Amino acid sequence: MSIDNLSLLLPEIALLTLACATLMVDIFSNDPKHGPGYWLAQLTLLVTAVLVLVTYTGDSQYAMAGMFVSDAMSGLLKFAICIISLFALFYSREYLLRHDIIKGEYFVLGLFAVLGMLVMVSANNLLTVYLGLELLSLSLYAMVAIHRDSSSASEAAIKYFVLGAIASGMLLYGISILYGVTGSLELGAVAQVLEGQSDYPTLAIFGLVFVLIGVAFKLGAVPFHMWLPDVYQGAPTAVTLFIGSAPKLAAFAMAIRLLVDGLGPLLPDWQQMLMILAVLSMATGNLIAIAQTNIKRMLAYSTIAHIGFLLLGLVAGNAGGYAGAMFYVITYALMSMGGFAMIILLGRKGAEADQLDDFSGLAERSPWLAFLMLILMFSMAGIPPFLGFWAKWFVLREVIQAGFVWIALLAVAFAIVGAFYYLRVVKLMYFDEPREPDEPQCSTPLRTVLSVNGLSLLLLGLSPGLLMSLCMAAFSP
Amino acid sequence: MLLAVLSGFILAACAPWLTRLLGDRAGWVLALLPAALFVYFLSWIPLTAGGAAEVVHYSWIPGLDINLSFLVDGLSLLFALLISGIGTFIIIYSGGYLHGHEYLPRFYGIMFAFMAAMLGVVLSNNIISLFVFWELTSITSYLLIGFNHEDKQARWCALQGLFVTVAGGLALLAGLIMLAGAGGSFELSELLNSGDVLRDYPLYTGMLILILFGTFTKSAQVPFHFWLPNAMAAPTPVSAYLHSATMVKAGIYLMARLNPGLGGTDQWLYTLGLFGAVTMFTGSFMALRSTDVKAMLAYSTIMALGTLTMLIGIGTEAAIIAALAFLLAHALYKAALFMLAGGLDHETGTKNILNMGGLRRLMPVSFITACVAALSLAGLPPLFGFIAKELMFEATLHAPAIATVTTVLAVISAIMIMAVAALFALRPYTGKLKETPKQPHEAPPSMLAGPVVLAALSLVFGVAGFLPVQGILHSAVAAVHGSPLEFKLYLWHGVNTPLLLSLLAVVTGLLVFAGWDRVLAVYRRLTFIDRFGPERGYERVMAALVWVAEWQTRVLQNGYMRNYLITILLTAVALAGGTFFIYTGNTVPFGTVDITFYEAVIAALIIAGAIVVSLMQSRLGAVATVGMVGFGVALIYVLFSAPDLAITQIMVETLTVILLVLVLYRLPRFLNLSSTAARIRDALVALLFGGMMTVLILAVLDVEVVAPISDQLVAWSYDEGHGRNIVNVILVDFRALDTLGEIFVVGLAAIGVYAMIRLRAEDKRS
Repeated sequence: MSIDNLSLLLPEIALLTLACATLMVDIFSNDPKHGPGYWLAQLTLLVTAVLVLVTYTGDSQYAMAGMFVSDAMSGLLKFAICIISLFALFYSREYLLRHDIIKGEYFVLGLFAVLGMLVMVSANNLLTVYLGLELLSLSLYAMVAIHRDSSSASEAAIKYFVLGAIASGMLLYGISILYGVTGSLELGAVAQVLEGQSDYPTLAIFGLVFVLIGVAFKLGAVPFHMWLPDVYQGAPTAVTLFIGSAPKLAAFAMAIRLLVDGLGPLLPDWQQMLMILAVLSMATGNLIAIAQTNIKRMLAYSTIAHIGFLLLGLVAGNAGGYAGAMFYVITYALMSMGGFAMIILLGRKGAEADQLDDFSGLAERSPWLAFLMLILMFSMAGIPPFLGFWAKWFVLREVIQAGFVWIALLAVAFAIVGAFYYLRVVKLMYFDEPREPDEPQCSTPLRTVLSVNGLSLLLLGLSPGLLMSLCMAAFSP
Repeated sequence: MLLAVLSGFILAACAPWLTRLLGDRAGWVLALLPAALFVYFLSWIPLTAGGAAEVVHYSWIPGLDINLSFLVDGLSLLFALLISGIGTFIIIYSGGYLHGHEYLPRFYGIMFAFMAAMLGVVLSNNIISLFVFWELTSITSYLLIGFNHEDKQARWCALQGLFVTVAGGLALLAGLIMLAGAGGSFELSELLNSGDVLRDYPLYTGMLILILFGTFTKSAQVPFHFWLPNAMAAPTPVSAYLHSATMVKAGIYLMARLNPGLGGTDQWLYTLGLFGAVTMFTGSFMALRSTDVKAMLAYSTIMALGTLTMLIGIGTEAAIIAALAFLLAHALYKAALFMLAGGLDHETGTKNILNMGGLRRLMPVSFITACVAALSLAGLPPLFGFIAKELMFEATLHAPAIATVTTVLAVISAIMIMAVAALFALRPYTGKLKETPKQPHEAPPSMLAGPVVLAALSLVFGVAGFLPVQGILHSAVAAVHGSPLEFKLYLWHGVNTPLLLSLLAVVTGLLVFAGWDRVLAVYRRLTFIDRFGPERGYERVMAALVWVAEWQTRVLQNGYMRNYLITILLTAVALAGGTFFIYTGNTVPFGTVDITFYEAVIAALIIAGAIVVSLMQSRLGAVATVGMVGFGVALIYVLFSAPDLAITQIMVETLTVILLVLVLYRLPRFLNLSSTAARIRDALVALLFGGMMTVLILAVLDVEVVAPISDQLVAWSYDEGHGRNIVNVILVDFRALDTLGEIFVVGLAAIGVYAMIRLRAEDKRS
């Protein structure tokens, strides 16, 4: 057992080291705004992102005796995770400062969560996947509970924790069955054994079922979605924003690693199960979102619907489909982040702007913010020329080409239902009377970053080619 | 070409600024762009003569089949000319109509973006870029419709209109992707040449339904027609533009465009023919009922859209010629009429036709223009509308299979539209002058330029039918039909059935006009129809969706974690149990299990612990019993010679119990909150899940055991670790990193503890 190719782990090692440094710096600084800790955390993410770029080769390389893999997919996803988390921490700090609940641990926990995500993305071993997942999840549980005096946040945290623990348990159980069947924890070896054997499938499929439950829970697919609305609504908006963005990329990577890399030979089985989950998710998410009056909760259901759409890419069961799903998840993370950031921006100390009514007449209060929100909502609804449209197009194209026409039609039908509640927000902003006349207060940096976030959906939507070809490259043999 | 399409977007970005700079003259100056585009498109006419098509290619997202390629032929050019030509007058007109309006700059911006998007729709050769432009028209038209947003009506209908068109758009997207899959290309120019392949596609019907759902919603066909009159809340220049040349015609354009590829089948004929005919009838029926001048025109637009759809559906040579002639005629007179209606609204301050009268002396130019345009609407000679209507009758009379239905509906519609035309031209201008909210006088030149020119064109084209034919209709017909057709347009065809039908329509129509007040009274008694209208259907569906959502929230997503747990566990049971059943049938591959006495005792202990804990009434007792289960598991580890695991388990268990006790000590008294029924349900779920796990474990036992890792460690320890004491080698070599990690973790934990202590101190201070 030799330590080879350790340089592949450079981003993770740097992140871990700097995260510990952040913890130290924050403890010994007396800044009430936790400036040093925050800036060091941002620097950490930036350094990690640069290191990801530097170590990116596009080929599959293995390290730590095959427990760790660095390939085209991991490169792109890690970079996206770092950049998105960079934005997320920025928004978070604005929120925490505004609501006066800023704590240094928040940034440290955030960094550890990012580390967990990177490990998940690069995992080439069932245990590495689990390790990354737990590191991420435990950090997130703590982040949800960061506002200790809020009873809704505490409730959300305990729900998230208990349900998450059950799901992790199931995943672990699935992993142990797979190990029992194949005698290996390494994903490639698992696939190889399953490929060659004809006796094992029955038991392996049980392993698959439990693994799938774990993955579905993390992604928030129906019927393992129950935690999502409660946590999204109950958690401080900054945390919701964090949970709703980068971790979805990691969950997607986990799905690819486990289902495609490890359980690829069982494709016909998980394809059917995912199909059910995808349709249920799109149906439930879109239908229920309509009845919500709380926009955080509405976005939670919309997340569930988006996850359903994303799973469709996996259902397609080929490289194009996976690339489509990857494009979708990155797009989703950008949109979701923008949506929650808007809620943060409109809120004031002690009063979150999380009701739909808070958006009434926004066009009159601030035409620019209303326009940004319009971009976000149209993009989520999948209307061109915004990025969200290309994501839907990409996935639909692959699904239809893979021959699942009826499921694509269902997806379209539910997307139509979904369009209704996104458009309702736009209608509220542009056609209803504002509840308060004054322009929303926000700092210039927040406004600028949110503008960048929103406009990126338009600009990437006008030239989606680069991101698309990167996603395609991640899965081309 | 790229610049021609995108120039509108560019101007849209700077239009607000230009408007402020130019002040009152803005309308005239900004209109230069559409005028220039009009001239530019005119210059393309020779290139498309005889049905030739030109493809202009720009790559957008290379490698993914998405290009900004443009298809220029008679059909796209006809639309491009209408969009830019009428657009010119609309821009001039809005300068006068919205004079001094605070949002005028923004209005121009959106208007230009809308115009550019429309040009993109009709010129795109790539179906994906076509779709992108298609949806852009929805977004911009939404902003246009909602422009007048102080109006309550505007708010309600904005959401409705957009939702209907966006829903249609998404369906269209699916249809287009299927189309591309069937035809093997994303380029229209290639798809249209593979009509036979497309018609033989196994999912042809499904594809057609999706595409038609898109075009029907866009072009306000029954039963989606309800959003169009509601869009009337928009300022008039918008209505004129939307309803004459543009947005609603986008659907018509697409159907005409796809005719060579998808048309000619029974599905195409019946769907388009019948839906079109019903729409035509509904539109004219509702038009006659309205008293609001704009609503009247909006419903007559629906009638025209229905007619066009019907003609495209019939698809014979005569029908295609009629469709394109009718399209041109309609665009000319409808734009003129809408602008005139806007003039009436602007000058008198009311839209209700019952409140207007005797305006001919005050607004003579408007009156004459209205008469000319209305003659074309009514389909009377010598206007171009007459030629179009004759052609329509000709086409319906010879339609395959549905001739009777279409002809009867066409004649009835023609009667009603005759009456509507007479009402519009005569009612506001003749008779006694009536009191209106504003003192009326003639509209300003900017608001008259458009109607006068367009009405004049209706007349010129009617008298000299060869002009539009040679100019554009000939090549447009070739594009829709798929091959060039020879035809000429004359006012006088000799005495034939279409002429007789026209005569019948005119006479009856005038009778209806004379007795309109009585007709209105009859209509008033028919209001119950509204209760069954599609608008009600839309509201019902929306209400039902909300109800479903609320029901789900109440039953499933009710905030109780135990319900969530039940769902997760039951789904796991269903998934695993289902798989188990499918793969193994009823035979359970149980391995043979030898249970020793000690194992049985420990298992009994664990089971007893689990049962007791669920019956326990005190928290402390429950914690202690859970501990019993944990220690039982530790004993099992001991039995299977894994002392290190057993030790860990015992430590963790002890610690957990202590921590739990410490926490519970501070909690309030234990309350039993669940009812007996709930407890029985929970017990069942638990048994089910536990039972499934047991079965699974028994099944796992049957599997051949993989070689244990210890063999490998033994093999490695001497060769790679160079040590004979395996335990030592494991600890210092194999797990060296582990040990480093553990040290690290302990260090980190120490920092964490320090942070917590500090926090506590801070809390105390504050």
